[in-house]
Amino acid sequence: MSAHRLRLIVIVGGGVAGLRAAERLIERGYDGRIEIVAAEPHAPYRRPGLTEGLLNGHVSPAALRLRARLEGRVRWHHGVAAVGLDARARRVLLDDGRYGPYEGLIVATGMTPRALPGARRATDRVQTLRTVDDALRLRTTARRVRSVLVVGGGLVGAEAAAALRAGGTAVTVVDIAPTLLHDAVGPRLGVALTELHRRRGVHVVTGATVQAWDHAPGEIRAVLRDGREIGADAALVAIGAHPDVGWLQDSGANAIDGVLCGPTTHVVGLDDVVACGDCARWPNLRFDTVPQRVEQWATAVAMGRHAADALLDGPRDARPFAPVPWGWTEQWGVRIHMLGRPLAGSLGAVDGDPDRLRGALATQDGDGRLVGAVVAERPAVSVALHRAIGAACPKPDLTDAAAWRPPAPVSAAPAPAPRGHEPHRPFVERRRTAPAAA
Amino acid sequence: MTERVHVDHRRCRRHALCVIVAPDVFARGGDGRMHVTQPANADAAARAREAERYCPLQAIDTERRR
Repeated sequence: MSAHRLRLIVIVGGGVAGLRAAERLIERGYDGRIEIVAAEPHAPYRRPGLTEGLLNGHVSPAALRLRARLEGRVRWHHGVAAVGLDARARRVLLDDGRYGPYEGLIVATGMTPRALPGARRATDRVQTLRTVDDALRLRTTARRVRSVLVVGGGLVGAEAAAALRAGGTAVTVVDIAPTLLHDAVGPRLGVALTELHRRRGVHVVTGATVQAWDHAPGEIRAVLRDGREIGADAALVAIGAHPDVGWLQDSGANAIDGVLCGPTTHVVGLDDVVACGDCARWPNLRFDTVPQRVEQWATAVAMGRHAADALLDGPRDARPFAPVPWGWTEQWGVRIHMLGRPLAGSLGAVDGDPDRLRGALATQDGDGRLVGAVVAERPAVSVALHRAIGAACPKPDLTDAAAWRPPAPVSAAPAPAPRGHEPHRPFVERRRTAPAAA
Repeated sequence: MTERVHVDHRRCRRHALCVIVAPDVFARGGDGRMHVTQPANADAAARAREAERYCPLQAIDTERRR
Protein backbone atom coordinates (compact mmCIF):
# COMPACT_ATOMS: atom_id res chain seq x y z
CA MET A 1 0.00 0.00 0.00
CA SER A 2 1.50 3.32 -0.94
CA ALA A 3 1.05 6.83 0.31
CA HIS A 4 -0.67 7.79 -2.91
CA ARG A 5 -3.34 5.16 -3.05
CA LEU A 6 -5.76 6.94 -0.75
CA ARG A 7 -7.49 10.02 -2.11
CA LEU A 8 -10.00 10.87 0.62
CA ILE A 9 -9.15 10.70 4.30
CA VAL A 10 -11.69 11.61 6.96
CA ILE A 11 -10.57 12.43 10.50
CA VAL A 12 -13.30 12.24 13.13
CA GLY A 13 -12.28 14.44 16.06
CA GLY A 14 -10.91 17.96 16.14
CA GLY A 15 -8.61 17.71 19.17
CA VAL A 16 -4.85 17.61 19.22
CA ALA A 17 -4.64 13.98 18.03
CA GLY A 18 -6.76 14.63 14.94
CA LEU A 19 -4.94 17.87 14.21
CA ARG A 20 -1.50 16.29 14.44
CA ALA A 21 -2.69 13.41 12.24
CA ALA A 22 -3.76 15.87 9.54
CA GLU A 23 -0.48 17.73 9.81
CA ARG A 24 1.46 14.49 9.43
CA LEU A 25 -0.52 13.42 6.35
CA ILE A 26 0.49 16.67 4.66
CA GLU A 27 4.08 16.35 5.85
CA ARG A 28 4.21 12.86 4.34
CA GLY A 29 3.22 14.19 0.94
CA TYR A 30 -0.31 12.82 0.92
CA ASP A 31 -2.05 15.00 -1.65
CA GLY A 32 -5.64 13.75 -1.48
CA ARG A 33 -8.47 15.36 0.40
CA ILE A 34 -8.58 15.72 4.18
CA GLU A 35 -11.92 16.28 5.92
CA ILE A 36 -12.08 16.81 9.69
CA VAL A 37 -15.36 16.29 11.53
CA ALA A 38 -15.22 18.10 14.88
CA ALA A 39 -18.02 18.07 17.44
CA GLU A 40 -16.81 21.27 19.09
CA PRO A 41 -17.39 24.58 17.34
CA HIS A 42 -13.84 25.78 18.05
CA ALA A 43 -10.56 25.33 16.23
CA PRO A 44 -8.25 22.86 18.03
CA TYR A 45 -6.91 24.26 21.28
CA ARG A 46 -4.49 23.36 24.04
CA ARG A 47 -6.78 21.42 26.33
CA PRO A 48 -4.30 21.12 29.23
CA GLY A 49 -4.27 24.92 29.38
CA LEU A 50 -7.90 25.04 30.47
CA THR A 51 -7.25 24.62 34.19
CA GLU A 52 -4.29 26.98 34.12
CA GLY A 53 -6.49 29.41 32.20
CA LEU A 54 -9.11 29.28 34.94
CA LEU A 55 -6.49 30.71 37.25
CA ASN A 56 -5.04 33.49 35.17
CA GLY A 57 -8.12 34.30 33.17
CA HIS A 58 -6.91 33.65 29.64
CA VAL A 59 -9.40 30.90 28.86
CA SER A 60 -10.54 31.44 25.31
CA PRO A 61 -10.23 29.37 22.20
CA ALA A 62 -8.12 32.13 20.66
CA ALA A 63 -5.58 32.27 23.48
CA LEU A 64 -5.23 28.48 23.59
CA ARG A 65 -5.45 27.84 19.87
CA LEU A 66 -2.95 25.31 18.55
CA ARG A 67 -0.60 26.23 15.75
CA ALA A 68 -0.37 23.71 12.94
CA ARG A 69 1.02 23.53 9.42
CA LEU A 70 -2.01 22.53 7.42
CA GLU A 71 -1.27 24.61 4.34
CA GLY A 72 -4.94 25.25 3.74
CA ARG A 73 -5.44 21.59 2.89
CA VAL A 74 -8.04 20.64 5.50
CA ARG A 75 -11.77 21.05 5.15
CA TRP A 76 -13.33 21.46 8.59
CA HIS A 77 -16.82 20.42 9.62
CA HIS A 78 -17.22 22.05 13.01
CA GLY A 79 -20.16 21.40 15.31
CA VAL A 80 -20.86 18.05 13.67
CA ALA A 81 -20.67 14.74 15.53
CA ALA A 82 -20.36 11.24 14.14
CA VAL A 83 -23.26 8.99 15.12
CA GLY A 84 -22.38 5.82 13.27
CA LEU A 85 -19.98 4.07 10.95
CA ASP A 86 -20.99 2.02 7.94
CA ALA A 87 -17.64 0.35 7.38
CA ARG A 88 -18.85 -1.74 4.45
CA ALA A 89 -19.93 1.31 2.50
CA ARG A 90 -17.06 3.33 3.99
CA ARG A 91 -19.21 6.09 5.34
CA VAL A 92 -19.22 8.00 8.60
CA LEU A 93 -22.78 8.87 9.57
CA LEU A 94 -23.22 12.36 10.97
CA ASP A 95 -25.70 13.92 13.36
CA ASP A 96 -26.82 16.52 10.83
CA GLY A 97 -28.17 13.84 8.50
CA ARG A 98 -25.22 13.87 6.15
CA TYR A 99 -22.56 11.23 5.74
CA GLY A 100 -18.84 11.38 5.09
CA PRO A 101 -17.52 8.94 2.53
CA TYR A 102 -13.90 7.94 3.10
CA GLU A 103 -11.13 5.82 1.70
CA GLY A 104 -9.12 6.08 4.89
CA LEU A 105 -10.51 6.95 8.32
CA ILE A 106 -8.78 8.30 11.43
CA VAL A 107 -10.76 7.95 14.66
CA ALA A 108 -9.84 10.65 17.20
CA THR A 109 -13.06 11.40 19.06
CA GLY A 110 -11.59 11.78 22.55
CA MET A 111 -13.70 11.54 25.69
CA THR A 112 -16.73 12.88 27.56
CA PRO A 113 -16.67 13.47 31.32
CA ARG A 114 -18.53 10.95 33.44
CA ALA A 115 -21.64 12.10 35.19
CA LEU A 116 -22.29 11.35 38.83
CA PRO A 117 -25.53 9.48 39.49
CA GLY A 118 -28.04 11.83 40.99
CA ALA A 119 -26.16 14.96 40.02
CA ARG A 120 -27.73 16.98 37.26
CA ARG A 121 -25.10 17.73 34.68
CA ALA A 122 -24.24 20.97 32.92
CA THR A 123 -26.42 23.12 35.06
CA ASP A 124 -25.11 26.34 36.55
CA ARG A 125 -24.40 24.53 39.77
CA VAL A 126 -23.14 21.09 38.77
CA GLN A 127 -20.57 21.14 36.03
CA THR A 128 -17.90 19.04 34.34
CA LEU A 129 -14.65 20.18 32.76
CA ARG A 130 -13.40 18.96 29.41
CA THR A 131 -13.94 21.63 26.77
CA VAL A 132 -13.18 25.32 26.56
CA ASP A 133 -16.91 26.03 26.86
CA ASP A 134 -16.95 24.00 30.09
CA ALA A 135 -14.01 26.03 31.40
CA LEU A 136 -15.65 29.34 30.51
CA ARG A 137 -18.84 28.29 32.27
CA LEU A 138 -16.94 27.15 35.35
CA ARG A 139 -15.00 30.39 35.49
CA THR A 140 -18.20 32.42 35.26
CA THR A 141 -19.71 30.34 38.06
CA ALA A 142 -16.58 30.66 40.21
CA ARG A 143 -16.76 34.43 39.98
CA ARG A 144 -20.35 34.42 41.22
CA VAL A 145 -20.09 31.94 44.07
CA ARG A 146 -18.07 31.61 47.24
CA SER A 147 -17.59 27.87 47.47
CA VAL A 148 -17.15 24.97 45.06
CA LEU A 149 -17.23 21.25 45.82
CA VAL A 150 -14.93 19.26 43.55
CA VAL A 151 -15.86 15.59 43.33
CA GLY A 152 -12.79 13.63 42.26
CA GLY A 153 -9.16 14.40 43.01
CA GLY A 154 -7.50 13.15 39.82
CA LEU A 155 -5.63 15.37 37.40
CA VAL A 156 -8.64 17.44 36.35
CA GLY A 157 -10.10 17.73 39.84
CA ALA A 158 -6.85 18.60 41.58
CA GLU A 159 -5.72 21.10 38.94
CA ALA A 160 -9.12 22.78 38.93
CA ALA A 161 -9.19 22.85 42.74
CA ALA A 162 -5.83 24.63 42.81
CA ALA A 163 -6.92 27.12 40.14
CA LEU A 164 -10.23 27.87 41.86
CA ARG A 165 -8.64 28.17 45.29
CA ALA A 166 -5.92 30.47 43.97
CA GLY A 167 -8.69 32.63 42.57
CA GLY A 168 -10.16 33.04 46.05
CA THR A 169 -12.92 30.41 45.98
CA ALA A 170 -13.43 28.16 49.00
CA VAL A 171 -12.80 24.65 47.66
CA THR A 172 -13.55 21.19 49.05
CA VAL A 173 -12.28 18.13 47.17
CA VAL A 174 -13.84 14.74 47.85
CA ASP A 175 -11.99 11.73 46.52
CA ILE A 176 -12.52 8.02 46.92
CA ALA A 177 -8.77 7.26 47.07
CA PRO A 178 -6.57 7.70 50.17
CA THR A 179 -4.82 10.70 48.54
CA LEU A 180 -5.31 13.17 45.73
CA LEU A 181 -3.86 12.06 42.37
CA HIS A 182 -3.49 8.55 43.72
CA ASP A 183 -3.94 6.81 40.36
CA ALA A 184 -1.70 9.27 38.56
CA VAL A 185 1.38 9.55 40.77
CA GLY A 186 1.02 6.75 43.33
CA PRO A 187 0.58 6.94 47.09
CA ARG A 188 3.82 8.65 48.09
CA LEU A 189 3.70 11.75 45.88
CA GLY A 190 -0.06 11.60 46.41
CA VAL A 191 0.41 12.19 50.13
CA ALA A 192 2.84 15.05 49.49
CA LEU A 193 0.51 16.71 46.99
CA THR A 194 -2.50 16.29 49.26
CA GLU A 195 -0.57 18.08 52.02
CA LEU A 196 0.41 20.81 49.58
CA HIS A 197 -3.25 21.42 48.68
CA ARG A 198 -4.18 21.51 52.36
CA ARG A 199 -1.45 24.02 53.16
CA ARG A 200 -2.86 26.25 50.42
CA GLY A 201 -6.29 26.13 51.97
CA VAL A 202 -8.04 23.43 49.97
CA HIS A 203 -10.32 21.30 52.15
CA VAL A 204 -9.47 17.73 51.11
CA VAL A 205 -11.68 14.79 52.12
CA THR A 206 -10.12 11.47 51.07
CA GLY A 207 -11.46 7.94 51.19
CA ALA A 208 -14.97 9.27 50.71
CA THR A 209 -17.70 8.99 48.12
CA VAL A 210 -20.75 11.11 47.47
CA GLN A 211 -23.86 9.03 48.02
CA ALA A 212 -26.64 11.54 47.58
CA TRP A 213 -27.20 15.02 46.27
CA ASP A 214 -29.59 17.63 47.44
CA HIS A 215 -30.13 20.47 45.02
CA ALA A 216 -31.60 23.04 47.36
CA PRO A 217 -32.28 26.43 45.81
CA GLY A 218 -29.01 28.33 45.74
CA GLU A 219 -27.06 25.52 47.32
CA ILE A 220 -25.79 22.01 46.82
CA ARG A 221 -25.55 19.51 49.62
CA ALA A 222 -23.56 16.35 49.04
CA VAL A 223 -24.13 13.52 51.48
CA LEU A 224 -21.10 11.26 51.87
CA ARG A 225 -21.37 7.56 52.48
CA ASP A 226 -20.34 8.00 56.12
CA GLY A 227 -23.18 10.46 56.63
CA ARG A 228 -21.17 13.66 56.54
CA GLU A 229 -22.70 16.51 54.57
CA ILE A 230 -20.79 19.03 52.50
CA GLY A 231 -22.53 22.18 51.38
CA ALA A 232 -21.30 24.35 48.52
CA ASP A 233 -22.62 26.96 46.11
CA ALA A 234 -21.61 24.86 43.10
CA ALA A 235 -19.97 21.55 42.25
CA LEU A 236 -17.45 20.32 39.71
CA VAL A 237 -17.76 16.62 38.92
CA ALA A 238 -14.31 15.35 37.91
CA ILE A 239 -14.55 11.58 38.28
CA GLY A 240 -12.98 10.70 34.95
CA ALA A 241 -14.23 10.45 31.43
CA HIS A 242 -15.34 7.75 29.04
CA PRO A 243 -14.11 7.45 25.47
CA ASP A 244 -16.46 8.73 22.77
CA VAL A 245 -16.75 5.56 20.75
CA GLY A 246 -20.49 4.89 20.95
CA TRP A 247 -20.76 5.78 17.26
CA LEU A 248 -18.58 2.74 16.45
CA GLN A 249 -20.85 0.34 18.32
CA ASP A 250 -22.32 -1.45 15.30
CA SER A 251 -19.42 -0.97 12.93
CA GLY A 252 -17.57 -4.23 13.43
CA ALA A 253 -15.02 -2.57 15.73
CA ASN A 254 -14.63 -3.51 19.37
CA ALA A 255 -15.69 -0.30 21.07
CA ILE A 256 -15.79 -1.20 24.74
CA ASP A 257 -13.79 1.33 26.77
CA GLY A 258 -12.22 2.84 23.68
CA VAL A 259 -11.82 1.42 20.22
CA LEU A 260 -9.57 -1.65 20.13
CA CYS A 261 -6.50 -1.23 17.93
CA GLY A 262 -3.58 -3.46 17.08
CA PRO A 263 0.01 -2.43 17.84
CA THR A 264 0.17 -0.20 14.74
CA THR A 265 -3.01 1.80 15.68
CA HIS A 266 -5.07 0.00 13.02
CA VAL A 267 -8.56 -0.65 14.35
CA VAL A 268 -9.09 -4.38 14.85
CA GLY A 269 -11.83 -5.71 12.57
CA LEU A 270 -11.94 -2.79 10.13
CA ASP A 271 -9.93 -2.02 7.00
CA ASP A 272 -8.31 1.35 6.39
CA VAL A 273 -9.29 2.68 9.81
CA VAL A 274 -6.80 3.82 12.45
CA ALA A 275 -7.36 5.47 15.82
CA CYS A 276 -5.44 7.83 18.06
CA GLY A 277 -5.67 9.83 21.27
CA ASP A 278 -7.75 9.24 24.39
CA CYS A 279 -10.35 7.10 22.60
CA ALA A 280 -7.88 4.47 21.33
CA ARG A 281 -7.05 1.27 23.21
CA TRP A 282 -3.93 -0.36 21.89
CA PRO A 283 -1.10 -2.64 23.08
CA ASN A 284 2.12 -0.74 23.73
CA LEU A 285 4.48 -3.63 22.93
CA ARG A 286 7.35 -1.84 24.61
CA PHE A 287 5.77 -2.88 27.93
CA ASP A 288 3.35 -5.75 27.32
CA THR A 289 0.67 -7.02 24.94
CA VAL A 290 -2.41 -5.77 26.80
CA PRO A 291 -4.42 -3.04 25.03
CA GLN A 292 -4.75 0.08 27.15
CA ARG A 293 -5.82 3.67 26.73
CA VAL A 294 -3.47 6.51 27.66
CA GLU A 295 -5.03 9.88 28.46
CA GLN A 296 -2.05 12.11 27.87
CA TRP A 297 -1.26 15.13 25.77
CA ALA A 298 2.15 13.94 24.53
CA THR A 299 0.78 10.50 23.67
CA ALA A 300 -2.07 12.11 21.72
CA VAL A 301 0.45 14.16 19.72
CA ALA A 302 2.65 11.14 19.03
CA MET A 303 -0.27 8.84 18.29
CA GLY A 304 -1.93 11.29 15.91
CA ARG A 305 1.25 11.45 13.89
CA HIS A 306 1.75 7.70 14.10
CA ALA A 307 -1.82 6.92 13.03
CA ALA A 308 -1.38 9.08 9.93
CA ASP A 309 1.77 7.13 9.06
CA ALA A 310 0.04 3.82 9.74
CA LEU A 311 -2.89 4.69 7.50
CA LEU A 312 -0.61 5.66 4.62
CA ASP A 313 1.74 2.70 5.08
CA GLY A 314 -0.98 0.07 5.49
CA PRO A 315 -1.29 -2.62 8.18
CA ARG A 316 1.57 -4.78 6.91
CA ASP A 317 4.23 -2.09 6.69
CA ALA A 318 3.19 0.17 9.56
CA ARG A 319 5.46 0.26 12.60
CA PRO A 320 4.10 -0.52 16.05
CA PHE A 321 3.23 2.55 18.14
CA ALA A 322 5.31 2.16 21.28
CA PRO A 323 6.13 5.43 23.01
CA VAL A 324 7.54 5.83 26.50
CA PRO A 325 4.54 7.74 27.88
CA TRP A 326 5.22 11.24 29.23
CA GLY A 327 2.58 13.02 31.27
CA TRP A 328 2.68 16.08 33.42
CA THR A 329 0.68 18.15 35.84
CA GLU A 330 1.41 21.37 37.62
CA GLN A 331 -0.16 22.14 40.98
CA TRP A 332 0.64 25.21 43.01
CA GLY A 333 3.76 25.77 40.93
CA VAL A 334 5.02 22.21 41.47
CA ARG A 335 5.74 20.38 38.23
CA ILE A 336 5.15 16.64 38.29
CA HIS A 337 6.12 14.26 35.49
CA MET A 338 4.68 10.78 35.04
CA LEU A 339 6.91 8.60 32.84
CA GLY A 340 6.32 5.17 31.35
CA ARG A 341 4.09 3.08 33.64
CA PRO A 342 4.71 4.43 37.15
CA LEU A 343 2.07 2.25 38.82
CA ALA A 344 3.06 -1.05 37.15
CA GLY A 345 5.29 -2.16 40.03
CA SER A 346 6.90 -0.96 43.21
CA LEU A 347 8.03 2.66 43.49
CA GLY A 348 11.28 3.56 45.20
CA ALA A 349 13.01 6.89 45.68
CA VAL A 350 15.93 7.41 43.31
CA ASP A 351 16.63 11.12 43.56
CA GLY A 352 16.27 14.01 45.98
CA ASP A 353 13.42 14.17 48.46
CA PRO A 354 10.15 13.18 46.80
CA ASP A 355 8.21 13.61 50.05
CA ARG A 356 9.06 17.30 49.91
CA LEU A 357 8.15 17.37 46.20
CA ARG A 358 11.74 17.74 45.08
CA GLY A 359 12.83 14.38 43.78
CA ALA A 360 12.02 11.22 41.86
CA LEU A 361 10.61 7.74 42.41
CA ALA A 362 11.24 4.96 39.92
CA THR A 363 9.14 1.86 39.28
CA GLN A 364 10.42 -1.67 38.78
CA ASP A 365 8.16 -4.43 37.55
CA GLY A 366 8.23 -8.04 38.79
CA ASP A 367 11.30 -8.79 36.67
CA GLY A 368 13.25 -5.85 38.10
CA ARG A 369 12.86 -3.91 34.86
CA LEU A 370 12.66 -0.10 35.07
CA VAL A 371 9.17 0.59 33.65
CA GLY A 372 8.17 3.98 35.02
CA ALA A 373 8.86 6.96 37.23
CA VAL A 374 7.23 9.95 38.88
CA VAL A 375 9.30 13.07 39.21
CA ALA A 376 8.67 16.27 41.16
CA GLU A 377 10.46 19.49 40.21
CA ARG A 378 13.41 17.70 38.64
CA PRO A 379 13.12 18.14 34.85
CA ALA A 380 16.70 17.06 34.18
CA VAL A 381 16.09 13.85 36.15
CA SER A 382 12.92 13.33 34.09
CA VAL A 383 14.91 13.48 30.88
CA ALA A 384 17.41 10.92 32.20
CA LEU A 385 14.73 8.58 33.56
CA HIS A 386 12.71 8.78 30.35
CA ARG A 387 15.78 7.67 28.43
CA ALA A 388 16.53 4.91 30.96
CA ILE A 389 12.98 3.51 30.70
CA GLY A 390 13.34 3.47 26.92
CA ALA A 391 16.59 1.52 27.26
CA ALA A 392 15.14 -0.96 29.77
CA CYS A 393 11.99 -1.52 27.70
CA PRO A 394 13.19 -1.60 24.10
CA LYS A 395 11.17 -0.64 21.08
CA PRO A 396 9.31 -3.52 19.41
CA ASP A 397 9.71 -4.19 15.69
CA LEU A 398 7.46 -5.22 12.79
CA THR A 399 7.77 -8.90 13.73
CA ASP A 400 6.50 -8.23 17.25
CA ALA A 401 3.57 -6.32 15.78
CA ALA A 402 2.71 -9.08 13.33
CA ALA A 403 2.75 -11.68 16.12
CA TRP A 404 0.23 -9.82 18.29
CA ARG A 405 -3.32 -11.20 18.48
CA PRO A 406 -6.34 -9.42 19.95
CA PRO A 407 -7.35 -10.70 23.40
CA ALA A 408 -10.91 -11.69 22.46
CA PRO A 409 -12.59 -12.48 19.18
CA VAL A 410 -14.35 -9.57 17.55
CA SER A 411 -17.08 -9.85 14.98
CA ALA A 412 -15.58 -10.08 11.52
CA ALA A 413 -18.25 -8.54 9.37
CA PRO A 414 -19.43 -4.98 9.90
CA ALA A 415 -23.09 -4.71 10.68
CA PRO A 416 -25.33 -2.72 8.36
CA ALA A 417 -25.87 0.96 9.06
CA PRO A 418 -27.98 1.68 12.15
CA ARG A 419 -31.67 1.94 11.35
CA GLY A 420 -33.63 5.08 11.83
CA HIS A 421 -30.66 7.20 10.93
CA GLU A 422 -30.47 6.99 7.19
CA PRO A 423 -28.22 9.77 6.00
CA HIS A 424 -29.37 11.22 2.73
CA ARG A 425 -26.49 13.23 1.34
CA PRO A 426 -22.72 13.14 1.45
CA PHE A 427 -20.97 16.08 3.05
CA VAL A 428 -18.45 16.31 0.26
CA GLU A 429 -21.20 17.53 -2.07
CA ARG A 430 -21.94 21.18 -2.33
CA ARG A 431 -24.63 22.07 0.13
CA ARG A 432 -28.02 22.12 -1.46
CA THR A 433 -31.28 23.41 -0.08
CA ALA A 434 -32.39 21.39 2.88
CA PRO A 435 -34.58 18.47 1.88
CA ALA A 436 -38.19 18.57 3.00
CA ALA A 437 -38.82 16.78 6.25
CA ALA A 438 -39.87 13.17 5.72
CA MET B 1 15.00 27.55 3.29
CA THR B 2 16.13 27.66 6.87
CA GLU B 3 14.19 27.74 10.10
CA ARG B 4 14.90 29.76 13.16
CA VAL B 5 13.99 28.04 16.42
CA HIS B 6 12.80 30.32 19.18
CA VAL B 7 11.70 29.67 22.79
CA ASP B 8 9.27 32.07 24.44
CA HIS B 9 10.65 32.15 27.97
CA ARG B 10 7.50 33.74 29.37
CA ARG B 11 5.46 30.72 28.29
CA CYS B 12 8.13 28.09 28.95
CA ARG B 13 7.73 26.18 32.23
CA ARG B 14 10.95 24.22 31.68
CA HIS B 15 9.37 20.79 31.60
CA ALA B 16 12.17 19.78 29.22
CA LEU B 17 9.99 17.63 26.94
CA CYS B 18 11.80 19.41 24.08
CA VAL B 19 15.10 18.04 25.44
CA ILE B 20 13.65 14.53 25.18
CA VAL B 21 12.32 15.08 21.65
CA ALA B 22 15.23 17.08 20.20
CA PRO B 23 18.30 16.82 22.46
CA ASP B 24 20.61 18.24 19.81
CA VAL B 25 18.58 21.47 19.63
CA PHE B 26 17.32 22.08 23.18
CA ALA B 27 19.27 21.93 26.43
CA ARG B 28 18.81 23.29 29.89
CA GLY B 29 21.28 26.05 30.52
CA GLY B 30 23.00 26.87 33.79
CA ASP B 31 20.37 29.54 34.40
CA GLY B 32 17.62 26.90 34.21
CA ARG B 33 16.29 28.27 30.93
CA MET B 34 16.00 26.26 27.75
CA HIS B 35 18.85 27.09 25.42
CA VAL B 36 18.61 26.59 21.69
CA THR B 37 21.33 25.40 19.37
CA GLN B 38 20.02 26.24 15.91
CA PRO B 39 19.54 23.03 13.89
CA ALA B 40 22.62 22.11 11.91
CA ASN B 41 20.86 19.94 9.34
CA ALA B 42 17.45 18.86 8.05
CA ASP B 43 17.09 16.04 10.58
CA ALA B 44 17.72 18.35 13.51
CA ALA B 45 15.27 20.87 12.03
CA ALA B 46 12.63 18.14 11.78
CA ARG B 47 13.20 17.23 15.42
CA ALA B 48 12.87 20.89 16.41
CA ARG B 49 9.53 21.07 14.60
CA GLU B 50 8.46 17.91 16.39
CA ALA B 51 9.38 19.50 19.74
CA GLU B 52 7.28 22.52 18.75
CA ARG B 53 4.26 20.25 18.36
CA TYR B 54 4.87 18.44 21.64
CA CYS B 55 5.55 21.47 23.83
CA PRO B 56 2.75 21.48 26.44
CA LEU B 57 2.94 25.26 26.77
CA GLN B 58 3.30 25.94 23.02
CA ALA B 59 6.40 27.96 23.87
CA ILE B 60 8.47 26.86 20.87
CA ASP B 61 8.29 28.56 17.52
CA THR B 62 10.11 27.31 14.43
CA GLU B 63 9.45 29.99 11.92
CA ARG B 64 10.28 29.55 8.28
CA ARG B 65 12.64 31.98 6.64
CA ARG B 66 13.61 31.99 3.03
